[in-house]
Amino acid sequence: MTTTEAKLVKRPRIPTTYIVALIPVAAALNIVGSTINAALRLPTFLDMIGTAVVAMTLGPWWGALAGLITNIGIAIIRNPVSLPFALCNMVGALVWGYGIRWKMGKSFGRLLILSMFVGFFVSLTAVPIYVLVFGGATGHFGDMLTATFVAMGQRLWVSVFSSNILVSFTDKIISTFVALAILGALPKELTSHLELVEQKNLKTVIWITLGIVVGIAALLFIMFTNIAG
Amino acid sequence: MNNMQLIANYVPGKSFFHRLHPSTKIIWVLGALLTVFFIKDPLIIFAFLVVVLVLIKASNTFATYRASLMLLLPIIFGLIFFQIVAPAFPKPWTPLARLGPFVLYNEGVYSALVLSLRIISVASFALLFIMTTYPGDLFTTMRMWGVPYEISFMVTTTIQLIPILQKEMNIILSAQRSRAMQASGFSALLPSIIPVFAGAIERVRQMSMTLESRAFGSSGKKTSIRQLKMGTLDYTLIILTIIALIGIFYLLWINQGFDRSQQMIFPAPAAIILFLGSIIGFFGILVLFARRIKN
Amino acid sequence: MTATNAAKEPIIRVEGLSFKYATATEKALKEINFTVFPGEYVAILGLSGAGKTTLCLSLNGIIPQMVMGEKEGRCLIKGQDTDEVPVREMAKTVGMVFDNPEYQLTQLTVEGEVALGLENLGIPYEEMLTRIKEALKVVGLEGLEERSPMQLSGGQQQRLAIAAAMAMYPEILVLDEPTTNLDPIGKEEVFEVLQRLNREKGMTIVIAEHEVEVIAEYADRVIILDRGELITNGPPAEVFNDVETISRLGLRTPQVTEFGYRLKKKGHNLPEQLPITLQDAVKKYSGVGGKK
Ligand SMILES: Nc1ncnc2c1ncn2[C@@H]1O[C@H](COP(=O)(O)OP(=O)(O)OP(=O)(O)O)[C@@H](O)[C@H]1O
Ligand SMILES: [Mg+2]
Repeated sequence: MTTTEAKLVKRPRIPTTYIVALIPVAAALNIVGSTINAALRLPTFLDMIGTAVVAMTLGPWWGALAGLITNIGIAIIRNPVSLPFALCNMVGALVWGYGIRWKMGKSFGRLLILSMFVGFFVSLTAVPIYVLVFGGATGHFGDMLTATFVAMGQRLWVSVFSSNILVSFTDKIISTFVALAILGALPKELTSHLELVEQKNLKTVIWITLGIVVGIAALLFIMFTNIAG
Repeated sequence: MNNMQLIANYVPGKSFFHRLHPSTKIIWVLGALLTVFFIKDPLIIFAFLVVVLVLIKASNTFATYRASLMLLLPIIFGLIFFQIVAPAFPKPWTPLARLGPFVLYNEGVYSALVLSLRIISVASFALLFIMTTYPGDLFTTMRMWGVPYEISFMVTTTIQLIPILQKEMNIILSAQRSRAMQASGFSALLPSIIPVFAGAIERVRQMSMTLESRAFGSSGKKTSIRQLKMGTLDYTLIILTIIALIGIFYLLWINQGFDRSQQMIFPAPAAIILFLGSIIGFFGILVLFARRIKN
Repeated sequence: MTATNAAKEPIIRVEGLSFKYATATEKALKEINFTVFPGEYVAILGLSGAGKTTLCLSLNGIIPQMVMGEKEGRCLIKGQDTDEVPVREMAKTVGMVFDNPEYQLTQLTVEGEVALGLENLGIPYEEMLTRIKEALKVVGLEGLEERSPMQLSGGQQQRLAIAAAMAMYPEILVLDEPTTNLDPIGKEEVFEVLQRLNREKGMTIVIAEHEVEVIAEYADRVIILDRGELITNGPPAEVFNDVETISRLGLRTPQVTEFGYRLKKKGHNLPEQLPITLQDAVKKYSGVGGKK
């Protein structure tokens, strides 16, 4: 009897099976998410929702592994050139994972800020890859935004970063809150140790995201016209 | 049906490339990647691409290759567009023409050629590797290299889960559509992810239990149903590759990557055609993709 | 049987085994005790939720190693505690067939699926080919070697899972309702195979099953679980003759036994021990046609 009580007090370690199960599901979700994103022509990427789930529940480095495996999977089934973007996915995982550890998930506002941090750092990693390897192109609708900024006289990397950060913010805020909703549906053993806010209605999140992104976009346009003029 | 997609890029066959050990092929891909990223002469890269295309043809993988390469086109068109107006070269740039707010530069055309040929040739070579390597062999090789079995399990499982998740997601999406919930964009997609994810976790937990029950990762000697051995040919090729790489890098170093951006002058109409072509191509491809995925 | 068993060590020894799933409020297994001797064919019977799966999973250490919850008591396989031996090592002794066929296929081809366990056991290539061929023949899947397991029907998947476990020649084979997706002929085939493995290879078999007719025909012993408790444990002839207990638990006895039981209640003069299989019934009931 005493042993049972002792077990109840200390949180049982998450068995490796959960880890080994969660990561491929997350990676596959990332890949399917990005495919559907392309099919529905959404202004996001949706290729890091799984990463967010793993980083939040299992921790930053497991999240990074999920990110790496996502890109290995894409390389095998689709195309190997996207392999460098493994780095972005991993950076995102680290920010999400450590963010949650440092209690950035405790309130809605904090989580929103954490998502934007993720977006920022992911863009910071992605933009050099886009500029150096892909000449600034992403193959995404965001390229039109980049072209607009270039037309306004901005340098290529500034334009790529500006358009990428807008897409990134949208994507990461939405991904964070979808991940939060997924956490609610996971077995309790996996999530009981987390300090997280209640789920939010996704519609609200989408409206808030839209507000933030349109705001930043407007700011960028004003800035760029002033610099150019 | 599902599994067609699963190993979509693998084309069964018995060509020279099929018979090489994955390790040899991986070393080749890495070698080619390094080399191509340091070469700055579009003609040399183009010559390399031609060689790769011949190899692809010889391995009977051309059809799969073409379909896969299509996915790269939007990014290639984008690249050409951006490079022509904002080349990856230090200024000053030589202007060739002006179209609205965009100035087309000679260095731009040059770097558009270099960068796009680079990506296409590396992608082609890597695809050749993927298309001629049975996925199971890839994972056997990973284990041979000492990658922990959990990792190779996770990679295999990811690949197997993709068609399954895709199917489940489609079912939920179309169910929502038929309930006339104006299922469009995010509001349809996002809630459907949740049950699919939770269900998939259970599935994979069961899969990992199965694997443990089949002694996966246990102690002792392992054998393989896929007879996968490094042959003399593989060892010879690896050694030759390393020697060749050393030679190539020496040449690249003394010739500074064969940079010919100052010698090659492109006529203005060529730049304009390339530029406009990239815009038409970008939108054309996106529309084409969207239509194909919808059906 | 008992005479030889006395000399042998039990191959499975379950002592005071209880288990509560982390998310459950009630125990799924309560103080279970039993032993199984080498070469025995044991059936586990019980209603849905009785704890059959939980018990099966305890036999190779998946519970408690891979499932979160609280375990009490011990489960010893050849004297080794399932708490201590990793599942992947225990797998060399205990083969496992799960109840959900689709989820337990992990490889890209049918052949690869059967090969997986053999590769991990380090079986030499030539022997591997023979065993794969044999196993696929036994379950009637020959010719489908290159097919993807995902493209098989539910019944075929179930048979493939059995082939994969069987080909490893484990000393103990545990099967959790392995024939739920099979048609009557398919079921019959699987039980034939299991019987052959049991008789010819001396494989110990533990099977969770709800078809009492097949249990009566093939098993040496029946264990009945009810809401996590072990109710009875004995030879089928004995267990199924206790018709009252069985029906009180909401289970069935074989139809021939039920038939005899009802006749007996009506006053027909039938043997003390009612038959449990059809052949048995033909033997015992012949000549009892008349009234008393
Ligand atoms: N993963 C789980 N988490 C919580 N409770 C569980 C879990 N699996 C089973 N249980 C509970 O444990 C009890 C025993 O379940 P078990 O699956 O062992 O029964 P079973 O006899 O195999 O039933 P069935 O014939 O339906 O397969 C049931 O009350 C069930 O609800
Ligand atoms: Mg069960």
